[in-house]
Amino acid sequence: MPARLLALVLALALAPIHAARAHPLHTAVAEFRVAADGTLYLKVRAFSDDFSAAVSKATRTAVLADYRVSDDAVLRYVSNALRVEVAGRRVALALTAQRRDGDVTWLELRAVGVRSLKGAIVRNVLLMEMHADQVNIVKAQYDGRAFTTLFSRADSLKTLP
Amino acid sequence: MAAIVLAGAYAARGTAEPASAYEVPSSPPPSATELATVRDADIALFERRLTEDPESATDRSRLAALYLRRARETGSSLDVERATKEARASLALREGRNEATFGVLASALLAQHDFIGALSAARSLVADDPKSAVNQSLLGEVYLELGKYDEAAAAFTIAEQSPATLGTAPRLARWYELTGRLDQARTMSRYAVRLSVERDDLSPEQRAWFLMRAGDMEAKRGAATIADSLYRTGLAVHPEDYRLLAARARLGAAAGRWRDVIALGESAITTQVEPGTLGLLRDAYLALGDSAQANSYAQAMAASALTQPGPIHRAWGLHLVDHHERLGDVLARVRRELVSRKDVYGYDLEGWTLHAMGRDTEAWSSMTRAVAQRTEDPTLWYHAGVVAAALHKDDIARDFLTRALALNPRFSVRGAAEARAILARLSVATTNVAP
Repeated sequence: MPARLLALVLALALAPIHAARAHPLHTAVAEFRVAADGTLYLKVRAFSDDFSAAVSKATRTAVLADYRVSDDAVLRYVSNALRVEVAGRRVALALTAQRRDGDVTWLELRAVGVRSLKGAIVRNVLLMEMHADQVNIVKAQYDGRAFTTLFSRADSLKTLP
Repeated sequence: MAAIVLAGAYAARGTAEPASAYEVPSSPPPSATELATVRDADIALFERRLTEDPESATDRSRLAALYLRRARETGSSLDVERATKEARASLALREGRNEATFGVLASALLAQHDFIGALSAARSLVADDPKSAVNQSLLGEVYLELGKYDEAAAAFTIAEQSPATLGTAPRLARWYELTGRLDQARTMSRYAVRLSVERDDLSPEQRAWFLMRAGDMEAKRGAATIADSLYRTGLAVHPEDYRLLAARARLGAAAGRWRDVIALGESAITTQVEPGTLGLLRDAYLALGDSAQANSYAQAMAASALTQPGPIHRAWGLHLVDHHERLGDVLARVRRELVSRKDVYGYDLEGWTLHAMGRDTEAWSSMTRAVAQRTEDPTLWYHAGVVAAALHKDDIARDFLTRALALNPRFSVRGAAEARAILARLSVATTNVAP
């Protein structure tokens, strides 16, 4: 414990000069990865307070203690706000995990039978109903390549190259 | 002067091995997840204790410090607000034997760019122990941010009397950096890294931050390879550190390595969307001819940071000015900020914006303030040189532009090229008027 307390005291004195917190931007990140076996993995990162409020409002369910929301409500909200279409068919996502890291909520979802995201149509409007300045990031790894695109309120659907 | 002497002695030993001096300890560090779990358990512990004893000033102070640490590691602005709230609550309960909490409060307010509030907290800290080098250097740091350079010098001169510590070295380095002593700043930053390596009680995020600052000094003087080595070492210590990824992206942009900028910048924004990095990414896609992606980043910038109230992010402001966009908005916002924060980079943004608007006489007035501290920064000198050239102050323009390129010939692809073009034009003009 003494070492940890010392670290704590040092933390007081060592705060970075330019902590870059003066301009917090509202953002949610969605990372897609297509595995060789045709499984599509999706990880979503969002700030817990905003995310739980959005899920609660959209699904008319209660926010539990510490900004937690039920898996069922999360899946309903994410499936609607984060849309992926491959070859004209909407991909059905299943929620496999929901965890917290401080103020951040991480979701893990997956779908089967997705060989590639080339030409896939994506929309990410997570939390956009909460903040006019929301900017969402979609990162996609497929066919040995990585592609990143942004979504703001002015965007609708985007096609992955 | 003790701080300088000690750091200088280290530098004399360390100059032969610029990057290897920052070796990562060989034992495998705990994973980020493990450390986050311990940190969150500590937070939960103090939160629980405070529900049982809400009057504990000490626990509130510790909780504030933990929130601040988590804010740095996760990018949560909510945690900065929590830290501020807990630090204030702690001080409301008790100021006596609770002085360090003023330091937490000052740091949290600095992170929110509430410089006036931070100044008040730092003054309280110094009033309690004026001989403390850490206290004086924190006060000096706040004065630097406010552009009160004489007051900063008074505080740092006291701090300099003691041997540099991890609490003073990075702040002294910042003072040297802003006041025309880049070599001293570099030495002090390297010394801070050495001090951080010798400790076993710092978080990976803190270790990485010292390496980043040392790298920043190298980058500024054009030592890109050493800077990149320091940034990479930082990433080995704290993988996926968005500040280090963004720093490497900036190095890539200065060298015109646009695909590197995209890979690094897009990794950085996955953790923290930072306005300056969005600007770099937009430039990278423009340079590669991908206007759709460039527009996507421009749109994101317009939708997010420009809609926020308060002062404009400096890097973002410069990016907009470089693209001749929203000049009136940038000027209005930087001028509002300059009312209370008269620092060199505020004047630089004002001057550069006025130049882009064709108001060079006013721009020169701003630029003279921007370079008044003799800050060794090639971008500042480039801006001053361009404005001077526009006003036909040829000798002054030549001096600034030559200095910018001498300090770092590759400070920016576009800026360095323009500086060279203006120098060539001035050289022709001089030749033409020669007898």
